[in-house]
Order: sequence, then structure tokens, then C-alpha cells
Amino acid sequence: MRKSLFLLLLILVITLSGCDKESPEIIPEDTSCSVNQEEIDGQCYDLTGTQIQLRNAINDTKEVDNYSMSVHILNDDLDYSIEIDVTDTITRMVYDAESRTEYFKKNIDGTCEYKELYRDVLKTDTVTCSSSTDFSFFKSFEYSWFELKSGTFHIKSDKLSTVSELFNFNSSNMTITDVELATASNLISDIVISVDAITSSYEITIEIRNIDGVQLEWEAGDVQ
Amino acid sequence: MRKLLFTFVLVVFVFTSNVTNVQALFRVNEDTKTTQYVDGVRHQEIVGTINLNGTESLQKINYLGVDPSKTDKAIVTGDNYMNHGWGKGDLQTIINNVNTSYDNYEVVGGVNGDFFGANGIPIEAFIRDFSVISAGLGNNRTVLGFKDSGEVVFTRPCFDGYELVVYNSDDEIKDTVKVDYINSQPLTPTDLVVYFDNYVGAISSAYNKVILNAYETHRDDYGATYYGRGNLVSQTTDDIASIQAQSMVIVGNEFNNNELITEDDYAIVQKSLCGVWDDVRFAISGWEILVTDGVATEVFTEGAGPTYRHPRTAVGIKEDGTVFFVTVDGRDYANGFNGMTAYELSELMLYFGAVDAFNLDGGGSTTMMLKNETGGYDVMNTPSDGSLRPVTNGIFIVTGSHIPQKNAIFPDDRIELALPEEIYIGRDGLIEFPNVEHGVGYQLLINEEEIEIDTNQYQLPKEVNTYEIQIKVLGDGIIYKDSEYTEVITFFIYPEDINKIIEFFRNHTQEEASN
Repeated sequence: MRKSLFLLLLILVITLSGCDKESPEIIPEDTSCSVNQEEIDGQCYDLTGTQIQLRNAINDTKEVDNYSMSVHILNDDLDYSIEIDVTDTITRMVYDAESRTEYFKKNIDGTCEYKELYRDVLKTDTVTCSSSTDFSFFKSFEYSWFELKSGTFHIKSDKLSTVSELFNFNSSNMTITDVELATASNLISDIVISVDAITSSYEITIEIRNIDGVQLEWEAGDVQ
Repeated sequence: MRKLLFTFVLVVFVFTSNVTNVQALFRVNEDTKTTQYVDGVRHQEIVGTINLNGTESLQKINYLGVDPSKTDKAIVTGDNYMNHGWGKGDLQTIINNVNTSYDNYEVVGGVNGDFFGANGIPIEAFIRDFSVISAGLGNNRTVLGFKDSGEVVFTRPCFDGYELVVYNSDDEIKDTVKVDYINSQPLTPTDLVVYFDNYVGAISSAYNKVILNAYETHRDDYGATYYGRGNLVSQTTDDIASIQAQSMVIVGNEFNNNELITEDDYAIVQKSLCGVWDDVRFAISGWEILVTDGVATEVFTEGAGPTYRHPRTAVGIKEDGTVFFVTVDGRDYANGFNGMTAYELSELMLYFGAVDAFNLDGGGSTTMMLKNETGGYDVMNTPSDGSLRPVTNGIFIVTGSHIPQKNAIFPDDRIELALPEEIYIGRDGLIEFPNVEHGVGYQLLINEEEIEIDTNQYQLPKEVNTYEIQIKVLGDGIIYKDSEYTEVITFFIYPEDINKIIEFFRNHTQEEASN
């Protein structure tokens, strides 16, 4: 009886000790990972809360089609800013330093239009619509491209060339050396891209905000 | 026998004729002679002896000369006068003043100028860029004047009272008006009177009184010469109890009702040049003519110790138009710098080829400076004071050309053209705008450089830069006058890296809208 009781206690201790472990539970290879797990080298690992938050933000941001974006291209001598407003049919880009604003619009009939307001001069044009179905550089990001380093998410080194291709920088002698993401309200909120060019290094900071809050009207001859 | 007698008489006649026109025997023995050209200006230093009629002396001579008509050189004068009054400056200071006062001149070299009083006032007339800074103190000495044409005037200057010259903001002369009196009540309704701030008393009359802020005034203590430059402060018909310091008041019946002087203009009150002096731009004086029409002065009745050996400065004009300066070192026998008498200096100027030559201030004032390889200036002579003496003014050879003086149309009834509108600058730097009716061309001011174009397009350079651009329409000048400049348009040509990044976002955005 004592032996049976000891064996039972031993099994219980071993079982309880297993519950305290923080390391990911190793799942047999032939088992699919669950929703909050990540498969690495054929094995599933549990995601932390922060990882889940980023994964959800990247996925949810893919669905966003109404937002504003503040872009700053920075180096030691320059802070070039572009303010971008995006709706499902109209996009507006404001280049403050140039007193220039550009508008793009896709019409119901499939044609696309372009307007440029430079100071007080308005120029209009019909442009060829993009053949791309859903291009948006940050919508192409995948959770698996990023890793947590010192509390922030950075691009994995083996994905740098993928992102450079995304930006079409490879043919411009420019190399992306880092992409850092931050989230807010379950969406990507900030992207910092570090770029090395031949003569200078740049940091491109992108802030995504005003989700579903952008209203742009396209009127004949002018855009308000 | 008769033939012999005739020959004897002839020989005696020829001999006596030569005696009455005796030529001085002058010789320069050059122990060393070095010649250099600085920016095309010839400089020589001669060390040796001179011999005039058997009297030999040790000398160090500097020569600096150029023919302004054959080079990009001009002759200018300079000074170091205070804004209100006079002043002195050593030649280096005066050179600095010339170089900073004019965009179109850079001094190559020069020498000191006129004799002067204790406060630095020049004894004779002094003209700086058409401004008659001084008409002289009444000594009636010869003055050396330089015209834009290259003509050199070498006489006593001609003055015809005072004048008021009004310039617009483009430095064009709007009008020149005779001034009847300085610091005196008008006697008739047509009189124009200018009051300087040394006038004590009230100005009471019903006439217009135009008050100028006089930012430059020069006058002597005896009323011989007045010069003032200023801009409009106000206009009134009220009595003026006293004249504010550094002000001028112009009084005239209905004067300025035609807006001759506006807030954009400036006005000069000065002695009015006349005769051959009318268009002299720069002038300086000295004391004693050394050479006239190729003949050395035989007898000096005045001048700065003509029979004594002193350091000397002189300016000469050659037949081909070459202007040259000469300095002679002196007051240092130990080093072989004996100095020259005025007689010796006259012969030296002839030796250098002068048709006309003039003695400038000498002694410790004698200074010659020349531009060196580093852009600074070297003293070429050995000033007898052991250092540079502050002097009243100087005369210089400069690289550059004169900006022609233009007359404005006044009153100007021409139609001012409209500003160019709808100026568009594409991302590629192509400036475009609709043509302006009646314009005959356009002038672009890009980073302070003026560019004239015939069409309504201009391609900016591709160089990475920030471009500040203004445009004006050019009129025919007869019926239509130029428009004003537009406000500044700033345009950036970015490095190619930036363009690539911007292009990425543009493409992305275009495609975003196209989805």
C-alpha cells in the first residue's frame, strides 16, 4: 500500500512540475500548430502575448483601406515629409516642402485619373491603372519575417532582401538594413526602415493613423 | 671767306638756339630691375641711381601701370571717410573699403592720394563713383578725373553750383535738379534750397519741406563744399523749428508733388560738375603738375618742398592711355633711399613715358600696395614712417568694369506689366508659365543670379541644390515697363536616393488608389 501511495505521489509531483515549465511545449511533428503557436523547424512553439499582438496587427492591417500615413525621410541634412491620405478610391499625397499635392483616383469604369496641385496650378491627367491587385508594401509583411529583439520587433536578417525587393531598392544601389515595427490598437502603427545608399544612410519613419477616418472628395476640376 | 663767315654765323645761331631750349640731362642707372605682372598689371622695382644735370642720388623706385582701355582694368578712387565727416585710413584699409563697397571692382594695386587736413579732409576735389564727396577747399589745384570712356581729365574741375540727384532703387537717375542755395532762405518761389544739419534756426515758409535721413554727409567748416546722401523720411509744409542731426531738408514751392523722391529712392546733394567734368566718375587731386603735354615742369613755384628730397608719389598718363603710379622711397640715406626733388620726379615721369603727370601726397604718406598670390596685399615701397601712415584717399587699378549709369524714365507713364501667374515647376525642374501679354521676354532671378530668357520655359540645372526662384516679365521699355519680381518660389533638387524613395511611395500610392 505504501509503495502504491509513494508511486502515486511521485507521478503527481512529476505532473505538477511539468505544469510550471515556461518553455514551449514540444508537439509531435505530425501535429498542426494551434492558433497561438508558431511552427519553427517543424515544431510548434507557443507565442507570447506580444508576439500574438504583432501577428494580429500585421494580419488586421492587411484589411485596412482607409488611413493616413506620415512619411519622413531623414538623414543628417534632411527631413523630407510626405503626408498620405488613402481611401478606397482616392489617394492624396502632400509634399509640404514642394508646395505640391497629388491625387490619384480609380473610377468605377476602371479608368484612373491623376491631379496635381502645384502652388496655384492644377494639372489633370488620365493615368494607367495599376495591374497589381492589392499592393501595399506593409500589407505584404508577414509575421514570420519579424523577431523580437530587446523588446521591439525587427526584420529577420534573412528577410532583408525580400523587403528590399518589395521597395525595388535592389536596382538602385540602396539596401534596407532594418525594418522595425510597432503596434497600437491592434494595428501596425509605426514602421521605421533603415536604408543604406552609396552616399548616405536614411531612416524612413512611417506613422499609420486615422484608420477609417479619411474623407476625400473628388470634384470636377478640383479636389477639396 | 664769305662762305666761312656764313658757316660761323650759322654755327653760332644753332648753338644759341639750343641754349635757350636747354634740355635737362636725366639718366636712370638701374642696378637692379625686377618686373612682374599681377593680374595683367605691370609692376617694376628699380634700385639704382638717378642723375639730373650731374647731381646723382641713390633711389628705390616702384612703378605700377596698366592701359585700362586694353584690359579688364579700371581706375578708381577710394577713401576711409566716416559716414558723417572725414577720416583717414592706411592704404590697406582703403583697399578693403573699395573691395567691400563694390561688387564689380577688385583692387590689384594702388597708391596714396591727395594731401589732407588734420581731420583727414582732402585739400582738393574728390569724386567717388559720380559722387562729388568734396569740391575742394578753394585752392584751385588741378584734379585728375577718370571717365568711363577711358578719357582722363587733367584740369581744374568745373563746378556749377549744387545739384540734387535722385536715384531709384535700381540706381537709375530719376532726375537732376539744380539747387539754388545751401542753408539759406529761398528768395523766390522757384528757388530750391537744401538745409544740412549744421544750419541753426527754424525753417519757416509755406513751401514743401522734404525731410531726408542723411546717412552720409561731408562738408568743410567754411561752407566751401557740401555733400549729402539720404532717403525720404517725410514731407510737410509745416514750419520746422530745427534740423535733426544727420538730416537734410529740401525746401521748394510744390517740390516733390510729382513724387520725384519716394520711399524707394535716395537722393544726393552735391556740387554740380560741368564742362568736360560732367561725366567724370572718379577723381583725385594732389599738388603740382609734373608733366604737361610731354614736357616736364621747368619751375615749381609751389608744392610740397619741390627742391627738397622727399619720398614721392606720382601718377602719370601715357600717350596710349596707360595710367601708371610711381613711388620713390626717401628719408633713409643709410639704405640708399635719398628721395627726389619735384624736378627729378618730373624727369622720372617723363622717363616712364608720361604725357601728363601729377604729384600726389608724399613723405610719410607715400605708399604703394600690390595684390599678392594669396589674395592679400603687399606694401611695395618702404614707407619712411616705418609703418603705413593713415591717409585721406587713394587711387587704384582694379579688375572689373564700370556699371554704366542709367537714366530712369521720370515721370514714368509706362504701363507696368502684370506678374507671371500659374508658375509651375515639374519634378524634373522644368519651370513653365503662361506667356504674359506685351512681354518681350522674362528675367529669372535664381539664387541671386539673373538669367534672361525669350520663352516661357526654363530648365533648372540637375545639380542637387535648393533653388530660390523669382520671375519678372520684361517690357519693351517704351510703352510697357518690366513687371515686379514674383515672390520667391523655393524648389529642391534632391539627391537621387531621395527621389527613388519618393518614387516608391508615389508608385505605391498610385497603385493603392487604383485598386
